[in-house]
Amino acid sequence: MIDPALVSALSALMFVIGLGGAFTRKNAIIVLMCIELMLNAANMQFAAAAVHHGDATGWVYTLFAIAIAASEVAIGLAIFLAVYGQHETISLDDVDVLRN
Amino acid sequence: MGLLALGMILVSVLSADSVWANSSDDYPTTSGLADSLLTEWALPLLILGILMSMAMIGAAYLVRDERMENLLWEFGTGEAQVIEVEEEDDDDDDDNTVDAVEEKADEPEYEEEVEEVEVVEVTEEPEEPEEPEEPEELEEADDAREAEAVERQARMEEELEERRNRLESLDEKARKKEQELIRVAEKAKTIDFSTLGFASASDADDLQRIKGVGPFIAEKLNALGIYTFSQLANMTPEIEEEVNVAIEFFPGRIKRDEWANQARTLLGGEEE
Repeated sequence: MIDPALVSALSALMFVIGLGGAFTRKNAIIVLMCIELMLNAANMQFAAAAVHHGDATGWVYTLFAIAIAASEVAIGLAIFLAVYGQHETISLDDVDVLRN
Repeated sequence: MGLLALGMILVSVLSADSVWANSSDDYPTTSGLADSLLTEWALPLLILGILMSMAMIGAAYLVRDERMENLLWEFGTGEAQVIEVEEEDDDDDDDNTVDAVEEKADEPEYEEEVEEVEVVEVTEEPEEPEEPEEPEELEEADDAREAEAVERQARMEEELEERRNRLESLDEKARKKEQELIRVAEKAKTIDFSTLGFASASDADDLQRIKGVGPFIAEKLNALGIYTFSQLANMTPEIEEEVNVAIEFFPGRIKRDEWANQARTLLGGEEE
């Protein structure tokens, strides 16, 4: 099996990239993708830990995280669509007021 | 910097041997996963399911389309009846599908509108702020232009008439299309051609070179009296809106696709 330390390092890297992106990027979709990246970093860590400790609970967490990520993306994209319809942009710097 | 530091800390903590010390030899199995999902985690799973369906319904609600014509199309009721016209399919995606709201009392309207035509055209003419000339000349020019406008109007009417007559000889699909073109052509009266400039089929540009213009839209534009890029380039935002309505295109699409800008670019390219 792969050394869990390596998996951890990779997931930490992913998490930091995602965090940086979510803080610095302006395009709402890229921010959404960065959040997704962070979630997946955590998922990877969970999965690795589950295998390492021989306990399926980590997998359960992963499954839940995936499901929540899916609904989050659905809502997020729907909001972006609605915002775009009103503001003609999804740049997070320009759209700071959701009210019309 | 802070992020880098955070990354370093994360890596060092997670990679530390102590975290991974007590490993176990038995791997978790899929059945084990299913077991714990349906016993230990049954309630959270249920809540998760509800959450997800709420999210999906919410998303669908957020992106609902409230444009009048689409609602009418969906329910197929109201005083307007909707025709969906699908023209010869080609690589262009949605340009050829036009959701048109057609008034039921379509045919009888023709004659009424004809009368208004001259009035609209003529009253608009004198307002043009073009060509600074001497007053008398200006008047003459105005007269000439008026005459020209009336003549042009007459010619358009003739074309319309011709089209209407041709209707009978066409089969179902072609007739639908033709009716739509006629409807578009009738709306030409609402558009301020003194700003756009006039053109005829003889000096037509290939309008389909504009992104967003498919064969059928090009035909509609032609029916409207728009043949050249320069006409499109002259569009003001108001005229864009009028043209958009006249060709029964997706609301605001002309503006969003920047036809005027595209036309300007294409014009520039041709001159070089």
